[in-house]
Amino acid sequence: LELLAQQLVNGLMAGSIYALVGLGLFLVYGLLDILNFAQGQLVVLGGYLCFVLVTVAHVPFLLAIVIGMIAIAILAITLEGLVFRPVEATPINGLIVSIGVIGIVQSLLLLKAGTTPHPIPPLLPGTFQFGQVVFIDERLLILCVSGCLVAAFMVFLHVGRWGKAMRATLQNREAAILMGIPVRAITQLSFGVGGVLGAAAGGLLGTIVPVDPFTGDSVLLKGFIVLIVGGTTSPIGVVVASVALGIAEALGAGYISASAQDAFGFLILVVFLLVRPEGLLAERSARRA
Amino acid sequence: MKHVLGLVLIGLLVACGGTGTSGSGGSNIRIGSVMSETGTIAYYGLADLSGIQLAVKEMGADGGFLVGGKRYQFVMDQQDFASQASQALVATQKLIDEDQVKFLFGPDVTAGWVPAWGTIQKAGIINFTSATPARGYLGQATASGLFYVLPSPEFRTNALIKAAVAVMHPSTAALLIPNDAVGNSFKPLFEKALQANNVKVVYDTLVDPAAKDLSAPLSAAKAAHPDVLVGGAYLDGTFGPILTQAVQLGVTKNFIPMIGVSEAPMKQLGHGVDSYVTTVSTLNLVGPTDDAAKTYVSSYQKYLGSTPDNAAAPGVGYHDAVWMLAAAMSAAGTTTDVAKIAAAMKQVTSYPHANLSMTFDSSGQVSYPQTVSVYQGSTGTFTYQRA
Repeated sequence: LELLAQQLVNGLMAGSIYALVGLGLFLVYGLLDILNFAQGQLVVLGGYLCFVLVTVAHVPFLLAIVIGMIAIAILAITLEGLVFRPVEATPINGLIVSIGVIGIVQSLLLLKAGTTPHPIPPLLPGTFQFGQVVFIDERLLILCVSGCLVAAFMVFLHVGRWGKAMRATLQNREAAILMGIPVRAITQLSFGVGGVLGAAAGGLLGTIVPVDPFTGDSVLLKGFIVLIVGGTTSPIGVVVASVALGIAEALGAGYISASAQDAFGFLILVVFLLVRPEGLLAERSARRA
Repeated sequence: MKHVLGLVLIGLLVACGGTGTSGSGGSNIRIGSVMSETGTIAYYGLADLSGIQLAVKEMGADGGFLVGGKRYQFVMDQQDFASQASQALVATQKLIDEDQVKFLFGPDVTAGWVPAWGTIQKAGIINFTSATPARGYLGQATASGLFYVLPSPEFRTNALIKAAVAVMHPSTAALLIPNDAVGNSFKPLFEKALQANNVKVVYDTLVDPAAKDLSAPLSAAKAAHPDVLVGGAYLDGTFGPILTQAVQLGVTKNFIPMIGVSEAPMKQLGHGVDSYVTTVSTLNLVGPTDDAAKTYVSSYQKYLGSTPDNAAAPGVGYHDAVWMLAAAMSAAGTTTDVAKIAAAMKQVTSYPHANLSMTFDSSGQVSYPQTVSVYQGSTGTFTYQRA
């Protein structure tokens, strides 16, 4: 039972990071129909920036996360204008462009930082025990911060004009234009929010897994899984799928085989594509159907 | 007048280069090096290259070596394969086909050596490498010039486990092995070595070699109450977070990482561990305690102008291989008959500037005493022993 509880804690933490990445992907896919592979690089850049701010500039960790979120949001908005907007009429070109961004960012990071992983010193290095279950303080902090960010994102999406406008654009871009919603600004805002979530994921992840130029690859794959399983039209579905994926991976790795940890995610993906292709919480008659 | 002087100078240069005569009156023998001096795996290439460069400089300072009463020196023909497999082949072909090199050091890693091996084998030259796949060719009739400069995995694993057991006295172990070709080749070696030292494996699993968050399998390992955690990863950067997670989750306080991991993760963590035992690729070069390491560091400082850290340690093997090659030429009485020199290499038991007391067996596999690093939490210090 202790092992089960421990694995649930491990899975919940991993799921909270997947949710941040998945929601970033959700925004861009919802608006432009582009599977934004570059989202993983926003996570990596957020991690590197946080590492530099904390270890070189000695900025407090939480402040470094906030600075990272602002900087990466600006970068994401810039990318939208320079790279994605010119190809928004043809999503397949957007997909290729986003893969190109991965190559550019990875090459630059390899050139400047090499392959050496860079660990961000944890803010809370201690642990505490509840029965036989060990709670690692840093992981709880990650859980809290990412939980707050996800909650803030949900509130933003459902309360206030900009959130409503974003939801409307996500549901039907053409109708949103006809209703006078400033779709261009909403698109920029969505990329910015995606950058905020990606940077937060990178900074938080960097305290438990050192950042290297390839850190984004595996989290990006997990992000895609939760996006598809959760439903590409449902942010809550993405969050639920993230937690479910984290827990499934932890239980699978703990009880079946650690080497097949990634396979459990793909297994869930295949099952959902067969049984409920529209996603966990999306309606069958979603606009894309 | 200027025109005549120019012609004389060109004539002199051509004469020197054409006969291969060195400034000190001996003859030059070209040795080739194909290492990753730039790119993602330059870490290994630069370390290995430093050993070869050091040996060549020492040789120059010693006035070369004698073969049949005549004095010779090595000159390096150095190629950077820039961490690119395709470039390793191009660089190797250039050295062999254009520069007529018969003695080649490297490519030193799998990614470079595998594509180059066909060309090396066809040329029938002598090749020194530390690339793991080369071990599969040792002893084959068509690979009589192949020399592997790292001790066998069996030898290194046994030395590591034996030294660790002597410090930790464990009765149970959890085994976490990266699920790739290298990891799978080491798994039975670890199991056998642990069994031979009466340590029971109470939990074992293969893990994703790229995974750095192993909290799930570590939690499962903890449930089996092991005295020691064996394996995890074979790079410092990957093992570091695993060590931290294992200590935080309270899996155990004793660690034996895979061969390839150094003291660095333990130094970085700095607490929560009773004992931590790793192999040192050749010698401990930081604060060296044994004479061989002290000599190497001092020579390195003198000829290469900097102080080596343990990242340079793999170069010691290549350094000694250069000197062994010279000794083999002296023993064989030839600098050109590759077959005779290769046969003599396998007979060499002593050579100048020896740091590792290396010998090659009839298959071309090197052996030398393994240095093991032992960290003990009670004193907070690292000690080194030859096993």
